[in-house]
Amino acid sequence: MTHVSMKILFEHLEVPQIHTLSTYREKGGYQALEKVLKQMKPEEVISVVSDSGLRGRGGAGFPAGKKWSFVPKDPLKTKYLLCNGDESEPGTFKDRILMEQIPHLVLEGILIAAYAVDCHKAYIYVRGEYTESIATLEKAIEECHAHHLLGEAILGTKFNLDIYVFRGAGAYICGEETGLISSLEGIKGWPKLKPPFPALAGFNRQPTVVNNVETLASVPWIIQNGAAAYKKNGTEKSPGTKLFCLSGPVKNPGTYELPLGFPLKDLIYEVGGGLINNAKLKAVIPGGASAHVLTAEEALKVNLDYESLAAAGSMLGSGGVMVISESQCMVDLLSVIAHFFKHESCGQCTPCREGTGWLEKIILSILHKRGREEDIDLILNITRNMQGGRTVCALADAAAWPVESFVKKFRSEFEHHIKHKRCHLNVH
Amino acid sequence: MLVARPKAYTKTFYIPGLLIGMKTTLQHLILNLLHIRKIPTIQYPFQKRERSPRFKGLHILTKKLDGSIRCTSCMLCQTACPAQCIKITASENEDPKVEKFPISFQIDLLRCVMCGYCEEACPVDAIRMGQEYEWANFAESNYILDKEFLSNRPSLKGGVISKLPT
Amino acid sequence: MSTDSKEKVKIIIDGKEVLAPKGENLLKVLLENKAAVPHYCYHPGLSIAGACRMCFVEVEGQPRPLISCNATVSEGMAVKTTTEKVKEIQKWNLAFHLINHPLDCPICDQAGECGLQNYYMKHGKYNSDMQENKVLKRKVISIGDHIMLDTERCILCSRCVRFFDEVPKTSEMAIFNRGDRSEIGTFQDKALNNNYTLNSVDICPVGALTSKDFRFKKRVWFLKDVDSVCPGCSTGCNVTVSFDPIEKRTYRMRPRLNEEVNSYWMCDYGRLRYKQTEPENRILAPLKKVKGNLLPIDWKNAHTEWKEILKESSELAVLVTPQYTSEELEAVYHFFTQTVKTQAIFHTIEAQKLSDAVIDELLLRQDKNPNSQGLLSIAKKYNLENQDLFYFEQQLKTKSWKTLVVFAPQDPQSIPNFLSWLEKGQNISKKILIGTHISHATPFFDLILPTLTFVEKNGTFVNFKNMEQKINAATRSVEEAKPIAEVLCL
Repeated sequence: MTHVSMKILFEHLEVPQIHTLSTYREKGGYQALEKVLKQMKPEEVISVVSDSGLRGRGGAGFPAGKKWSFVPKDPLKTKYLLCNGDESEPGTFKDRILMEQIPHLVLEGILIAAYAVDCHKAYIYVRGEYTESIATLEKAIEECHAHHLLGEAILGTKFNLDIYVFRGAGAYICGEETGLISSLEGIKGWPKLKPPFPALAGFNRQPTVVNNVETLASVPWIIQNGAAAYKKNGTEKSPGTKLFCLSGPVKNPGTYELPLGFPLKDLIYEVGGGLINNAKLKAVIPGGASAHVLTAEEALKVNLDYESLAAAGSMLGSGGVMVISESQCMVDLLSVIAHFFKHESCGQCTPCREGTGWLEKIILSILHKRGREEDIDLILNITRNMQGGRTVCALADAAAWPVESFVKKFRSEFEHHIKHKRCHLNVH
Repeated sequence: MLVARPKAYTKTFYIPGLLIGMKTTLQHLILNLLHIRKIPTIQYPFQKRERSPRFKGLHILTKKLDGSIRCTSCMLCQTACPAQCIKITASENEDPKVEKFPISFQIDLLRCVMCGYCEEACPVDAIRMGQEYEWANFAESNYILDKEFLSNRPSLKGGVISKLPT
Repeated sequence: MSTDSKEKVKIIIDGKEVLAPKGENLLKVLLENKAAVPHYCYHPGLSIAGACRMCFVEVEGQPRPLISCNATVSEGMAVKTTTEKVKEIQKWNLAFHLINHPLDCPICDQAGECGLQNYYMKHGKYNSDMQENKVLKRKVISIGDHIMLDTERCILCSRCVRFFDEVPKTSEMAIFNRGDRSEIGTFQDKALNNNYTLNSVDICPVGALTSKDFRFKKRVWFLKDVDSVCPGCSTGCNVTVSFDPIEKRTYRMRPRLNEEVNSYWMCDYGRLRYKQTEPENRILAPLKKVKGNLLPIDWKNAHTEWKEILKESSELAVLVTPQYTSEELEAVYHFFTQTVKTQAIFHTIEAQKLSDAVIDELLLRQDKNPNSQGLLSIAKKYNLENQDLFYFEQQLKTKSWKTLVVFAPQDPQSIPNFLSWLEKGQNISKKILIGTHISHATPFFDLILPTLTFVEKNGTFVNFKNMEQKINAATRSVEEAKPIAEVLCL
């Protein structure tokens, strides 16, 4: 590996027993918290995080410091910090590692963020299937309470915070911040209309900050080493490191911490060791199932940061890099993705509720030898009318993008399916 | 003011005009006598002329494949009818897949103008204009046709089944 | 919504400048200014859902079209409702609404006033591209005494869900399942149990919720509407009465907006009051008691009888109920005090009921008469306001009236023990009933004269707040019934 980089999140990942408080503290854990509580004002914390250029790791890439600064300073208002550990994007498995292996890093991040926005109640919304994450987080919270790192008068200061772990039911839509808030409130996990934005009226109609697990876990290091040190990694507009989840037919799939701006080609061929059986690369989905697919040609040119992926017509998203080899039928793959979004659409707004179902049915028709020539244009029409702010949340866009990009970039495969009623790979 | 019309002397000689008028009649008389087999007159009622399939005769209520009445009592025929001769009373059907059906369906034949709008308005091919046209009767009340007569009268021989999907 | 700030700002709607209150809901302002913005989930009486995504408009300076129901009016806003982009969105959103809709308009009661039909004719008019099988859902589910549910027709606008959450606050309906399997319903099809269920039928933009009472009775395009006031109680909800002018029958009553009285709603009890006007429940002709049996007579004979009775005017008592219009009551009081010259006019108003609050904390009041206040003010004018039923009973013991004229309630449910009250007047030799309802036509009376119900006459009802509200005549369901003036031979 030529790209040796600084590890920020995974610095102590390999340390045995790092999930226990004592080991974590031995490795310098909770020193950032102590520094923050004893030496810094909340505004200073926000400005350090803003200066570091840390961007939301959940998908949208919104600057974290900016998000915190939107919260009203009114001390009479109850504020909430929600840590989004729903991680429901297909192809993403990074938060899980953080929560299971280094839970105290996540908790420390939450503590610092809570101090910055003056909040005294934080929730970690964990995906229902992540039973092990829930168990380790709860154990870690217990340990913290025992050592005055949570609860009243943390580390002898006036700062109080309680962290609760909330187990979701595994709905994709509950990873969307307002959907998560609805779910946490105990009602159906439907995203809420914006405005009002959660920073002003979120959980229980109070100011709320929702941050991804990875975003919060990056905070302690930034506090400890300063914004300038963090900025040394990554690119100018996308500083820092990010966890990338490499999956698909590669030799070494897994989660890797890499600086932003890392070439996708190197991730696949050097970090990932190339494709199994040295198969030819056909396409890459760079940011979870909802991102636009990149053809092999585009994928080999692009770098993994917010700007260059946006320039290539896709997005960094949650960092779930899915590699697709030459032997994969794109119609078959798209039918799986379309089914996922149809199944996970919450059903609140019409374009998404009806559009996702319709798309799945057409794609299945094409796959099952019932396709018509006009179907391809119809799919493109439907996807065009599902995206661009037509719905309450971004799920409709997320459902439309992969379908649109698959059909546009691999149109010939779809045409072959329709014309010859079989796959050009002869797998169906 | 009345102005006297000038006399038309030619009109006093009416015999040539009469002959001109008779020209067509005489022509047909002679032609018919020469080709007696091609004579267009028929011996009604012993002999009946064939009707075009588009002929608008006595109404028929069609049936489904299972023999039940096809009409869903949407009342579009009643709405379209210019003579207001159709009266439908809808009711709940026991079969939840059918939901609505006409418990009574009456056509006042004396009001009906045989325009066929009902047939055109029907979204489910439930009403058709048939081929029958001999409906002379003695009592006025006999001209109010009910559902049974419209769908099941003897001349329909068990009713007309529409094969369109329901 | 901050409608309390009265500050008006200028906004431009399709190039036309209008004044609108600052912070007001944009869609509300657009609709008030006759901009034809399609919408399903927005209802002015409910909270905002933003689910149907039909009300997109373009606002200058905004990068994307936005839904007007979740936008607020601000100074200098330039709104465009008819651009190509907006039309494209409307067309496609309508297509999305329709792809899984069963299109069973022929058997749907909503046909003719259906949001899907209307907007299809206006914004759609295309051939559907949907070639796949539709999602099938449950149909013909009975939820409650008044409502039939069809989940397949539902477009999931959630108006009904929000209605039960926000107006009767019973939260009985919800949306179950996710995605295109979503269905509205009650938990385990439990019956809706409150007095406001039928409002959900009114606000349903499609035929998912239909009224059992109106189910399959009539296609709506045969009906004509007339503005009136509900006679069910002293709240006096503003209603629209729908009737068939050919059949001369009333088919339904729906609430009409009046912010000061009933807002957008009315109760189920009041809504079904129109049934008392149907000919089946009515006195169809003047009736005269002959040997203990009531026989129909014609009006000529009835009037002769009536005039004969009036000759013994000095010993005549009158009992009026607050179910008549102020005009009729004025005529009654005037006629009996001035022409017949009797002061024995009694009314049936119970004083303690007048001050009673609403029964169900929303609209329905204890006093089930539409015109109690009207009757009281007229009685006051003639100084007879203290002559109530209690006084009547007392007087019965001392006075020896020969004739009793009763103006019966038009709705027997408003005064359920009406006939048993009258039992006390058994000894009066001649008893005359002027009324409408068949249940009052008993051989207890010697002469029965049919009059008009609230759908057959014009007039004024005065509600509990002393608000005078006008009722309008719809149709004469009973030919033989006559207005009070003609009955009394004024």
